[in-house]
Amino acid sequence: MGFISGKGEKRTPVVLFGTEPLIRQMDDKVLEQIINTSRLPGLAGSALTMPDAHWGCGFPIGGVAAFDAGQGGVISAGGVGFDNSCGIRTLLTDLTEEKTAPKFESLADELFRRVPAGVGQESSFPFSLPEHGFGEKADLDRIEEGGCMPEARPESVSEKAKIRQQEEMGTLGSGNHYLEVQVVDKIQDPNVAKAFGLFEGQILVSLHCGSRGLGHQIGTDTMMEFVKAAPRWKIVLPDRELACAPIRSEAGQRYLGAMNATINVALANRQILSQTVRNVMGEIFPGIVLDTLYDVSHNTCKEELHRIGDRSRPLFVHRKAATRALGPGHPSLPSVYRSPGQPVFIGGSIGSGSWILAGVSQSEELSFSSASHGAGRSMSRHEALRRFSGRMVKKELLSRGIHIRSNSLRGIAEEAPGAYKDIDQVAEATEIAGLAKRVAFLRPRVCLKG
Amino acid sequence: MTDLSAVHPHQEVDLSFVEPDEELALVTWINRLLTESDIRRLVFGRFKLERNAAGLWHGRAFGEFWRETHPRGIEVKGATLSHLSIKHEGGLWTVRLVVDI
Repeated sequence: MGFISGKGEKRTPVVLFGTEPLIRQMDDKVLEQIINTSRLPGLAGSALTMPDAHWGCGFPIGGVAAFDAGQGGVISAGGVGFDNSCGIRTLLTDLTEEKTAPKFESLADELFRRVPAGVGQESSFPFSLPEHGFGEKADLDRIEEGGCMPEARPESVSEKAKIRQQEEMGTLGSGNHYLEVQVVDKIQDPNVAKAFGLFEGQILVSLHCGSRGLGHQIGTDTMMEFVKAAPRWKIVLPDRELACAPIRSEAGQRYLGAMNATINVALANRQILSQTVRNVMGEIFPGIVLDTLYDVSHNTCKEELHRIGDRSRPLFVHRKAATRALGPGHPSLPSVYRSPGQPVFIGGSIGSGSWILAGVSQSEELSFSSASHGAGRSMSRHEALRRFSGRMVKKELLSRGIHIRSNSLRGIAEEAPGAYKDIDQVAEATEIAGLAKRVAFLRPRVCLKG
Repeated sequence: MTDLSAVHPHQEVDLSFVEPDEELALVTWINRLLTESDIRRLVFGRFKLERNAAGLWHGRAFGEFWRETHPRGIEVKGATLSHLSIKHEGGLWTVRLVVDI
């Protein structure tokens, strides 16, 4: 980590977290993009990249930057990402791999039949959900913000965005989204694992998806609005993808309200998917317990209180493909996680496994309580298609006991484990950097891809 | 994304917008098409976009409803402004556009 200066310009506060091998793997664009990000008005502290960072649109993927509204700070749709509130929800079961393994194939088939996954896969769920039947009260305590962003302004969401979402509630989407049945393969921190309800051999289910078409519409519309209005706000954009608005402007407030509403849509989407998983697994494993461990988004901008220097102040923290990771004692955590810290998920690609970590106190000072969100791509989708065959990847994974289901062999090739960085390196680097600590490694057994 | 040559032009969508900047017009056009494709469940295979003297862009896209026989690749979330450029040199147009997937 360190400060980086441009030619003849003031010192730019930029910090890249990662071990030397991971930093060396990062494409040059990451550095360029985070420097550009740090030059936006009202930056508080440093602009950061997490150990899984790679090139993105405007902000790098894995970028974190906080802005102070009182200092002319800005909000950027590109800093949130087009898939607003994409995130991971993990469900705990009381099942063990030993007892469930014979049914993995039929479980994979039934989940694939009932969970709409892939481009154009529609759902029959209404946009306005009925009040009952899609979850358990205990879920709310295990979701960020108690399951609802109070500052949401649905009236700021365009009709077009709402129409796009009509048949997409309860769908997984495509790209790097997934539904995985996993096994707790290795416990790294027994005390925290116990507090999280984890034990070796346990079956978990993780969902990775976001706000679908509604989020895409808001992201693209807002970016165009902000880039055209930038001269009016006297904002000089080092890169048009960094289009942003002053937080206190009408446009900034309107986007903030719409984005918060989008977060609620994403949470509802993962709630429906969770309930579908409960229904399917309840039929195959009668009496199964499926409790929410935690639901955390990794494409957001949230107003949070952070200490810089000797005083705390409200900041708008952009996390673009970076997970919030609150340490022990944080008042925003549900009581069950006040002692161990927040569950943090680093999701892997198909076949490579995932890590559960716990938030640590020092990440507040280091990274506005943020950590890595995934393995991070090591090559483009185009390059992955050139190197891997979807059919071969599926076959190879099956030989390792991993059942892949997808409508797209192309999608499997693009998401091949070899197209991502080593997730163990990312998790280790996250811990070494002091952003979160490793708790348990999860091995996939069933994976649905879009 | 699919094989355009296999798409029948049974459905037509008309779109109009004002955008003085050619590059931003391209992004607007692509994003409008993505929205229409998503909402109407259409796949487009032929396109026509013109700008009149008053600066109004008028575009038409022709296609059909998605069918099982059309292989569907990755979902495109939106056109971005990354590396966006339109160049006209020596009678040759070169367009570069990055989409978010």
